[in-house]
Formats: sequence, structure tokens, C-alpha cells
Amino acid sequence: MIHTRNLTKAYRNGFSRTFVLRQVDLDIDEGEFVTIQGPSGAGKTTLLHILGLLDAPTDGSYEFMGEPVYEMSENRRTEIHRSQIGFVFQAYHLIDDLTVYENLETPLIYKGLSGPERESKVADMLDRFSLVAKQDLFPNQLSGGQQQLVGVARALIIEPTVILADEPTGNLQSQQSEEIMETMTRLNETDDVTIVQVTHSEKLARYGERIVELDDGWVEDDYQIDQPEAVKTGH
Amino acid sequence: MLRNYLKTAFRTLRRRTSYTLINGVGFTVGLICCILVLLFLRYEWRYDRFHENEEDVHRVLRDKRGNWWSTIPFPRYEEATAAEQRRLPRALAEQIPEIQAATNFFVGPHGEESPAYVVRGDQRFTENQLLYTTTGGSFFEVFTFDFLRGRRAEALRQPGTAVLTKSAAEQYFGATDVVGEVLTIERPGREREVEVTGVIEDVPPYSHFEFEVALHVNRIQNWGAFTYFRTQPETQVDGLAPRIESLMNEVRPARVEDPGLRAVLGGVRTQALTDIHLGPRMLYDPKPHRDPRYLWAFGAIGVLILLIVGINYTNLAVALSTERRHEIGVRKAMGSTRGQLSLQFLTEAMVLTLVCLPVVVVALEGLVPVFNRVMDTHVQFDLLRSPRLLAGMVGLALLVGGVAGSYPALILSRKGTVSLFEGSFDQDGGRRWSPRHALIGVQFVLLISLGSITWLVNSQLHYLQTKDLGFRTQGLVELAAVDSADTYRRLKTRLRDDPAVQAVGAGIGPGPGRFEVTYRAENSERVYSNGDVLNVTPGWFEALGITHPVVEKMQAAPGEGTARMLVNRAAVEALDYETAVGRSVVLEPEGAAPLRRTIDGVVDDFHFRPLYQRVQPTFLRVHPQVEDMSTLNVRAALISLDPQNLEEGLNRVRAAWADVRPDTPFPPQFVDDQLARLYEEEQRIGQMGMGLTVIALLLAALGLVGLSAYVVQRRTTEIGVRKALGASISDIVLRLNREFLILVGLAFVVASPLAYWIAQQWLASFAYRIDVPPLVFVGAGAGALVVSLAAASYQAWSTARISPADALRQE
Ligand SMILES: Nc1ncnc2c1ncn2[C@@H]1O[C@H](COP(=O)(O)OP(=O)(O)OP(=O)(O)O)[C@@H](O)[C@H]1O
Ligand SMILES: [Mg+2]
Repeated sequence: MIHTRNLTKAYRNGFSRTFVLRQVDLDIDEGEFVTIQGPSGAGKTTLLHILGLLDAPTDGSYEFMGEPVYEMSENRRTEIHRSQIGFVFQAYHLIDDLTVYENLETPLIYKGLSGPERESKVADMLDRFSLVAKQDLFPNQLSGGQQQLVGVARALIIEPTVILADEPTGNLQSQQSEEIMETMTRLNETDDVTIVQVTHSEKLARYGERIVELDDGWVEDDYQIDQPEAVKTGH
Repeated sequence: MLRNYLKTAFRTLRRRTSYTLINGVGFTVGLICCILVLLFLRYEWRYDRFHENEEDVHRVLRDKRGNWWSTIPFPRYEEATAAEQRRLPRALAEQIPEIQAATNFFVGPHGEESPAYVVRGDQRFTENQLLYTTTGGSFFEVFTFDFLRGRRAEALRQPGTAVLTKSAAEQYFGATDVVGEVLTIERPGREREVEVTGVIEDVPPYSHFEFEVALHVNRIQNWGAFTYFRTQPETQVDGLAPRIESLMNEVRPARVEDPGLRAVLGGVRTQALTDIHLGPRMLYDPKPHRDPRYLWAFGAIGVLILLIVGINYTNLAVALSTERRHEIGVRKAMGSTRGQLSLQFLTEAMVLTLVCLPVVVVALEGLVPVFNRVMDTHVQFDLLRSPRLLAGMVGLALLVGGVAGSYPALILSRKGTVSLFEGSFDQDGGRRWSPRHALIGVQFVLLISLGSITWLVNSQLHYLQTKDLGFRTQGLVELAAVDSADTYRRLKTRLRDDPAVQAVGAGIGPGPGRFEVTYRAENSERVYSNGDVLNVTPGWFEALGITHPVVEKMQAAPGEGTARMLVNRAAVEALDYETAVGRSVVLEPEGAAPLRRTIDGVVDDFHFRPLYQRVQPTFLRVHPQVEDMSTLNVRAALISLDPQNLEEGLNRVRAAWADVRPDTPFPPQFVDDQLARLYEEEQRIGQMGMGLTVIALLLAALGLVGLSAYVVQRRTTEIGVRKALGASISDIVLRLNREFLILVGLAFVVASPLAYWIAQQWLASFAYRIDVPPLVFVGAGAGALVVSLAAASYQAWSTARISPADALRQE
């Protein structure tokens, strides 16, 4: 599903280059539930953006579902965003000028769904995340946690094959966090949805079956959870 | 999808009040100006296009000594017979198969001629719009006018018949059902009864000739009727000119036989009816034409206003987009294509323009009449009756929105998604130069060049109005209805001892004077054609305040001696005489009766003609008394009133006129007004152009104010930090203004030569004009600087005053 070789991301900083990702080799199969961990500034968000086709690597190759990303046309990427990838942003990134309802509806509009179809799906999501009462509010009228919920709901609503979630529960109380993790686990188990999440929480990391540890752009560790003594990948 | 765009657009616009307001005002004013300009251009373009198959109608022009003239082939104009006048139109229609019908006509009285009157019973109306034709019904075959009464086929069949317009019929008869009624047409020395054979709709104002009464006459008493013809559809008219010329030679053999005449004749050409109004005004063309350069200028101002509005929108939208880049990023991540994003931004701009449209319509309802008053046009703004106009307006609004929205749409939709989240395309930092700076630069160029051009046009117009013309105009009145020596004599006698009246003289007042005579020096064969002849009495000099010993001597012995000849300095120069007095000049040397006159004195040049042209060589024939002047030359009286006592003086003259000519309306004209009318066209165009330019300036300034507000707002954090680090308010204000300073400087360098060049093009059409003071450009540059500095500084200052903590919290 996701194969990267030598994936490198560097930023130009005056005359020097700052490396954010260094030669990342990552293979994620369909139906996996992967957690990425690492200290702040390790490059987790950057990696997720690249995996989500939102950013281009400086070097290295990346195949998404067997297609080299480098060769993809703009249109193909757009198509993938519409139907395959659900992205949960660390900073929520809701559209300020749209209500909760409309924020959820927007990806469906881009996907080209008819009015009634959209209505039932949005209603379903609002229900699932207990946001029915908030549907007509604007993002700035919501708490941080509520905004995060909407962000997650918006990623799930298109029924993607891959969910890329950047600290989806960072602002949620533990019970809510667990509910979300359970929702994702269910999607992973019943619908075979591939999930890549970033989290700082050891507890939430447990929901996944595999952990990738990132530090200063290097993949420090990559192991299955039920096999704690996994083979160390190194440099 | 569209609904979603519309919703977002409305929300965006509602939430950002100052943004919406600035752009809304911009779009509204821009559209108003633009539509006004378009309506005006359409009005001018429609001239003469109301006739059926108007493109098949042409007129004949002939070149005589490099000037284009009308075509009545008179041997000498007073002497042409009725048959001679009819010959050419008849020959055209009969002998050239491509020509269906031909006509000639003249609308008078023209220029300096005495007025004509329409008399019905005991009522007498001054009528300045009599159309004379010798071709009768052919007139209505060439031109299309709708008949309300009478039949086209029977109208004007016989000499002595007339066709009235609806309003003429209503004025004279109070009804339109007047076919068969009889009127009397009265011109100086002639009276003639005519029978009404038809009533037509009023001639539309966008016709290059207007008339109230069309008359079928045996002879046109005037010089200068044009010959028009209608061809079969789709005739190549170019090929006709040589054939028309040989016909003209046939009907008037002198064109070939007389070597003098042959020497001055150039060729013959045809001019399409639809080209007349926008072409140069020929001698005897009845109405002012429109100089197409002014139409271009108006069009250009319209486009500039739209450009300014577009730039304002672009600048603000891009500045604002830094605020919205998360939204754009998210939409991309959710699978919005570039096209969809662009469409969203375009929708936003178009929604704004469409929302402005009702305001535009209401404003135009009020403004079009004002425009018509200033421009002396009859532009119509009638949305209900013209769905095409409405569609055009909506189309224009969408176009403006589309164009304005396209740059933001393009650059925002092209940004990489992550760079949108990270804000790495911050264009307002002022650290980098971007296309947006170029747009602001263009804005400044427009500010400076429009400002200085306006200034220069204004100075020239002022100069035209205030230049010393070399004679007195204050309190000077011209009475054009003085058409016989007897009338003049009696009027003068009545006014002689009146203290409110300073002087009375026979002779015309200043005016366009388009008729020129030929002359040559006594000892040279070279013939000049730009002479001006004035037949006057000594009182005329007195009224104008021009003194000369010869005139004084004549006045000392009133009515005695013979006519004397004075010339102006321009004439002396043209004749190339060292001392002119005592030498002679030959007037109309090529005519049947050349006049050799001895020069008795030289007067200083005075500007009797518009300041477009250099002072003409002028020949003043001073007659000791009015009875010595030929009837043809008695046309008007100049009366000088005591300027302190104008009202009183005018009343005296009115009373005297009522005694002398109780049958004729009192038509006084103040010479000041007449002079002002010479530049009427410039005044009108100048006023309207200036109005539009000022609007353009205000819009540009508004855009800059809005932009600097956003720039400053974007940099609130920076300002906060700098303050926390100890920067003073003035440091900050200066930093923020640096960018504008550089742009204004660059704009000044570009705009000054540009404005200078454009102003020179216009000024070159005046023989007498202002020197262009360099201060104008410096002033305009300084103005632009002040506008931008004031705008940016106010914003910067008010932001810089808030506490650092507040500034930082806003991030
Ligand atoms: N546009 C950029 N230019 C330069 N450096 C950047 C840019 N974007 C990110 N970085 C750097 O890349 C590094 C990794 O950033 P990233 O956002 O991926 O970290 P992260 O692991 O998600 O951290 P956190 O847990 O705090 O979210 C950081 O050191 C950051 O400074
Ligand atoms: Mg992160």
C-alpha cells in the first residue's frame, strides 16, 4: 500500500540545508494500523504530509498503492484525495466560514455525491460523534476538542482506504480519545482500512499493531506491538 | 457545488466588512463609470445608423486646394440657376446604375447668417433648422424618416412644399394632422408660402443633420449643400468616385475648361454616411462632429478605471488570502482541483460585482441625465425597454468580477498544500518584491499621470477662457438679426444718446468663422486661401475697443469719404510687405471679379477666431456708413454696453429693438458667451474627462488605503515584537512606508514622460497653448506620495500605539 525508499526531506536554510526526514524506508501493507511516535520536531507531521500527497519529498521514492507518486499527475492526486485518503490535521484546519455541517459536507461535494446522499452521510457522522447539537455552529464557536472531533469526522466521512491522522486526539479527554481510537480500530478490523496515526500517548499507541519511532528524521525503531523484541532497523 | 461556492462567497464577504466595502465601492463606481462611457460610445457609434441600409448611403466631397468641400457645382454661388443645382443629383441617379437615388440639402440658417422665420397667420417663429433640397421626394428615398401623416411617395413632390417634424407641427399648429395647411417661410429679402405634405417623427439627436422643416425649393440660396446618394445594396462604392467625377465634369464643363479652376481642383471622393459624424467637420457641416480621439480618451479612462478597480481587488484579495490559506490548503487536501478553487475565488468576485449591480442601476438612472446635460448628448438609459442593455450590464459585471478575481484565483490555487499551512508564501513581508508590488506601482503610475494630465487640461481650458484676445468683450452684445441697412440705421439712431449704451457698430462678432477667402500680394502670383474678410463700420471698432488713426479720422467726419481697408499684422506678414500702407492686395484673384484694394492701415492681431488656429490674415473693410455696405454684408450689429449697468443697457436695446423690428424676436448674444461656446466641446469633454479622472484617482487612493491597512494588519505581530524590543512608533511607521516610497519614486520616473507626451498630443491641437510647467509632475508625484504615506502611516501609527501584548495576542 505504502512503500517509501530513501525518503528525504530537507529545507533550504540560507546556504545550508536542514534535514527533516532522512532516508526513510517504510512499508505499510493494506489493513495495517501503524502508530508513529517521536519527540517534538522529529518530522512526524512532515512524514504524514508526504504520505498524504500533500507535500513532495526532496529525494527518494514513494509508491502509493503501487503507483509512483513522483509520476502522478495533479488530477490523479486530486482523485486520490477525494476517495482514498482521509487526513486528520494536527491543527484541525476547519474552514472558518463554514458551519460544522458544511465542513463535513465539503469533501462529499468534491467527491461528487448527490444532495440526499450527502445529507444522510453527514447526519450519520454527526450522530456518531455526538455533534448533532453543534451542526450549525462555526468552528470558532467550538472548543478545541470539539473542533478536533469535527476534523476526525471529516476525514472519515469519505470512507477512505487510508486514514492519516496527526495527533487526532491531542485535545480530547481520555474517554473521548478512546472512543475515537475504537472507531478507528473498528474501521481497521471490519473494513480493512489502513491507518497511520501520530500520537504522543503510549496508551493510545497500543491500539495499533505496529509502532514506528522517528527521531531527528531517522527511523529509530519499527516493531510490531505483540512482538516487543522486533528487529531493529538502524543506520 | 455552485451553491457551496455562493455560500462561502457570501460568508467571506460578510465577515470581512472593510474588504467588502472597499471592493464594493470600487466595483460600483467602476461599473457606473464604465457603463456610462460605454453608453456614450454606443451613442456616438449609433450616429446616422437609424436609416434603412445606412451603409449604402454616401455623400460626395470634392477637393479644392487641399480642402474638402460640398458639391453644388455653382459657377459662382450667387448665380447658379435652379437647373444647374438639380443637374448633379439627377445625373447621378440616372446615369450611374448602382445609384438608386440622390439628393442634396442644406440646413440653415448657417453660422453667421441672419435667422429665418416661420409665419403662420399672425404668429412668427424663429426657425434655425430649415432644410432646403432641390430634389424633392428623393430626399426621403436616400434618408429614412417615419411618416406620421401624409405618404412618403407624395411628400415634397413639388417645389413649394414642406414636411414638418412632429414637434414643429405641434409648435406651429398645435396638432400633427396638418397635411394641406400652408405656412410662410421668411428669410431676409424673401418670403415664400409652402404647403405641408407630410409630418414625420422628430429627427433623432444622433443624426449628423437635424431639421424641423424640410422644404422643396427651386434653388438653394446657400453655398455649401452636400450631395448624398443611396446605392444598390452591396455596391463597392470605391469604384464610383471616378465616374462621379466625370459626371461632375459633364454637368459643369468649367471644371475642365477653365485652367484657373482646374488648377485648384483635386479629386472627388465619397464619404460613407456612418463615417461623417466621427470624421473631420467639413465646411457647412451643420453640427459639431466628434473628434474620435476624445472617444478613445474616454474609452481609455473607462478601461483605466476598471484596471484600477481590478488592481485594488487583486491586491486586497491576495493580502486577505494569507488569512485564508488554511482554508485553501484543507480544500486541496480534501480533493479540490485547482480549477474548482479558482472557480471559488472567481465566484466570490462575481458575486460582489453582481451585488453591486442594483446600486449601479439606480445611480445610472440619476447620472445619465446629468451626463447628457454636461455633454449635450441624448444618451438613453432604459433598461426596461432594452433587455440587451441589461444582459450587457450583467455580462460586464461578471467580466469585471472574473478579471479581477482571476489573479488571486490563479496564484492561490497554484500554491503547494503544505506551503499554505506553513504560511511560507507570505507576500506582505516587504522583504521580497512580488507581482503585487508591480500592481501597486501601476496604481501609482496611474495616479501621477492622470493627476498631471488633469491639471494640464484644466490649465489649458482656463487659458482659453482668460487669454487677452486683443479686444474688449465685457458688456459686448451681438445682434445677429440686423439684416438690412435700414434696420441698423434706425436702431443706431434710437440708441445714439443712451448713456447705458457705449457704442454701436455694424459687423459680426467673433466666432468660428469657417469661411476663408483667397488673396495674393500685388506683385506675386502666389495665392493664399486663409484670408478672413470683415465688413464693418467705424462704430464696430469702437464697440470692440480697437483704436486706429484711420478709424478715428472716419469717426471725426461721420458718413463722409470712401471705404478704407485695414489689415492685421498677420496679413502683412503673409503678404510679405515691409511697409504695407499704400500697397495693395488682390482678394479672390481667381474669381470672376478679383478685387484690388489699397491698404490704408495696419492693426495689431486680435483673436477673432478660436485659439486652435493662428490669427488669420484679416482684411477689414471699413465703410463710412452702413448704407455703403452691400446687403449681403449687413448681418449683425455689435453693441457695447456699460459693464456696470448691463441689465439697464440690455433693456434699452430690447426696447429699441421692439420699436425697430416689432415683427421679429429679440436675439441678443453676449460675446463672452459666444466665445465660451467656441470651446464648448473642449469644456464638455474636459469636464467629463476630469470628473472621471478624479474618480479614478479616488479609487486608486482608496485601494492604497485598503491595502496598507492589510499590510499593517498582517504585520501586527512584527510590530508588537519590535515594540517589545524598544522600537519607537516613528521607527515603525518609517519602516512600513519605505516600500511605498520606493514605488512612488519609480512610478514618478515612468509617469512623468508618459503624461507629458499625452498632454502634448492634446495641446498640439491649439495654436495658442500653455507651456507645460515641470512643477505639475512634481506636484502630482508629491500628491501620490502624500496619499500613500497618509494611508500607510495612519494605519501603522494606530497599530503601533497598541500595547505589544495585544499585538502579539492577535496572532
Ligand atoms: N517550511 C519549513 N521550513 C523549514 N523547516 C521546517 C519547515 N517545516 C517544518 N520544518 C522543520 O521540520 C522539523 C519537523 O517538523 P514536523 O512538523 O514534522 O515535526 P513533528 O514531529 O510533527 O513535531 P510535533 O510533535 O511538535 O508536531 C521541525 O524541526 C521544523 O522546524
Ligand atoms: Mg507534528
